[in-house]
Amino acid sequence: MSSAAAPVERRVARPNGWWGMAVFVATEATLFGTLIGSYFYLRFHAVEWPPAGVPKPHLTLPLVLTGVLVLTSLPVSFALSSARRSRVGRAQAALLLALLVQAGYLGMQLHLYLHDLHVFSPRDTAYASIYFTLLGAHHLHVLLAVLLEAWFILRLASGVTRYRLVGLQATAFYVYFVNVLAIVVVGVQLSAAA
Amino acid sequence: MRRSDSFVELLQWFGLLAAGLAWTAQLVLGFGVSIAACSAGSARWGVNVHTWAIVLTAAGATIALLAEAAAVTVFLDARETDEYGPPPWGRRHFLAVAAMVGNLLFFVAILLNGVGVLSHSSCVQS
Repeated sequence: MSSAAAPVERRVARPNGWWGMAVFVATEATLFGTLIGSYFYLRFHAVEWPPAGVPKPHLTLPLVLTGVLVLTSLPVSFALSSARRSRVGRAQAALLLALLVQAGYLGMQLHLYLHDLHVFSPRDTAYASIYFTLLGAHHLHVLLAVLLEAWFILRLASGVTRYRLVGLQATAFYVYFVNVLAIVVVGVQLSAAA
Repeated sequence: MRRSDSFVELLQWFGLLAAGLAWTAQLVLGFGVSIAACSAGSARWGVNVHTWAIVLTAAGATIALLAEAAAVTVFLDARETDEYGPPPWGRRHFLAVAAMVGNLLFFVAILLNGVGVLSHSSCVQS
């Protein structure tokens, strides 16, 4: 065995704000786990899925929108690394970019959601009920991410403090989670088109 | 006097996660038991939903109480450190507080789950 010192990976202790977000994300993951479990429970008991009279979900637009949403992880990550270097302007600009893209995503998704509501009602079938619940829950999570980013754009205007940096770190964690969730939700949604 | 570091670390994670996992296990196993008891193919196995509900509820509630005890122990060990204090004691303090609250909720959820199953007839759609 070589006596040369191997590079030692230094363990970085997470701040409590990050742990708090981790616990919150765990509860949200449980919520979506139960929703997705319910979706497949209903699906496996249904002869037709989606039921007769309900159109199959579109493939292209939801996939493109999800891809765009997932890409917002990059500016959020950039904002966090900029804030760590006290580059407030860059951090704010990156957060603003992420916020605008997410707001655009949310606007398009709400348009599709309302369009679907005009075509079939959540009261009509179990499919429609779980479809709108699952999508609506995810849209609310994207909205929360947008609000958190807006808050930090404002807060960073008066400089980066340790407290704000931890908050931004927790927000970034949340955005990554929402983006991963988007892939899972769109996968579940589009499984009905298969 | 503080306990060994690795033991406290173990207690902290047990206190934080065990009750939630017990609740999840109760739900998933309870669902499996219901399916086994009420499906045509497995009805002859003689699975008794109520017996299983009592066993799962008792086991889950016990684990939740043990998790609560672990969380309280960690909280008492970490009480000298502020929850905003440096890790690992700051983190232990913070997560122990979260666990103490969460475990009580999980304990009640496990009990209500068991009571719900016991107060309904098996294999009948509600």
